[in-house]
Amino acid sequence: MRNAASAAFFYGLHHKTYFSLVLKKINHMKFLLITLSVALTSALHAQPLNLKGDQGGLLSLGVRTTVSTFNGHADEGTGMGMGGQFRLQFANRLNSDWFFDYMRSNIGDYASRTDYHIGWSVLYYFTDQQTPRIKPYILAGHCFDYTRLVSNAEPNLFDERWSSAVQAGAGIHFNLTDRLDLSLVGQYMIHIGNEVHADQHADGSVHFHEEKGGASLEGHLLFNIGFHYKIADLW
Amino acid sequence: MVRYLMMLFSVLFAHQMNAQDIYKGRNTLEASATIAPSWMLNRNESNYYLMGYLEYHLSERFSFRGDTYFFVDSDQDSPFFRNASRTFFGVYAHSQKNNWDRYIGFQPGISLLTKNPYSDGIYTFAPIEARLQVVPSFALTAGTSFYVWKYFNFFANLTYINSTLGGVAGGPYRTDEFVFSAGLSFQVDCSKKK
Repeated sequence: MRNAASAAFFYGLHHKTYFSLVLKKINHMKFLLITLSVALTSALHAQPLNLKGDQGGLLSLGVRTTVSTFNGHADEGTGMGMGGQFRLQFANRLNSDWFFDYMRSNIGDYASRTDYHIGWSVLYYFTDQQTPRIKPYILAGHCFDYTRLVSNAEPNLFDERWSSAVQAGAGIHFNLTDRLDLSLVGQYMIHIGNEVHADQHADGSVHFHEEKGGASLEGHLLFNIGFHYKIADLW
Repeated sequence: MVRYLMMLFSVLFAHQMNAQDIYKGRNTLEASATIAPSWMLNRNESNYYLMGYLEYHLSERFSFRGDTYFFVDSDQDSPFFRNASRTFFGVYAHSQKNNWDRYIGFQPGISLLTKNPYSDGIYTFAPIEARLQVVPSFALTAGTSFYVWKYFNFFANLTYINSTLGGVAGGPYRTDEFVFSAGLSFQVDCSKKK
């Protein structure tokens, strides 16, 4: 009972400290809101998109949510990620995505997996039209990635891997306005590097294994949903 | 007599509605902050957040919007979260009729979550480490706003937040929530005057 009261007391103290931190954060938030407001009103001013020539040079900024299905090992669950990207169009039918994704997934109830992807893809459109309501495409590209596996019970027990990967898939832009689109993408990514995975042994201990040589071509299926806004026509 | 008065009132009301100004449109910037209660979908627990948003209307139909939530407290003596903040950015689609706006939105985002190691009534002096986890999340929102003047409006939103807290002992934990927010919001017309 005494332990419970003490723990509750310390928890209360911590909570008050956290509340003061929240108030400090609000001040930061005010500053950020004002800065963002000024930036938005000057840079983002909604205007019709006037092209300088063809569609080459269009630059878009976007955010996206990623669902990652790791299917290499039995205990690895579906992952959720978020990321951002910019899109630079080279020609009427040729575009490129330059992305960063941060993804988390769980390995049973004994470990977690974090993936960082930074890379690019080339998009090929089946139409020359600039903003049809629906614009399908195929894509292929390359990325560098960092993977970290950590034991849930013991955070100092982990394994990590740097590797690169190739990806290919297909997607659709839903053009909501001249400048704004919703994009859905499905792609398969194959990692070219050492394969890593976690196991829980019968005694409950967690072990990480790394297979050198990259022979397994570990891969996962990724689905992205994202929004992009065309901010400029560079050439 | 009553019928006559009702007809007269209807005509006057319709005339008034037609003549009124529209206070939200392309290039409107709006922001607000309020206290927002939530219901955790996988636990019998309610949280209270301090939330704020900033929204820029590209047109009558679409807007960019960023939302931030800071966890303040919960209805439990020993809350599930020790610290939590969630930030989202995405696009909203609007259906506007005069000054009444209805909308839905999708926002990818990040949640910074720290589980309270003493939640579930577990009190111990054992040094349990509370680790901050960076959790990818997304938010789906449906809501409505009524613009009563050129500088403010009343709003009400219901937001579903999807997140899973992994990387902690005993986990992973689903931390999905419904968050309700309502209040007064401020807006300015940022159109360039000619």
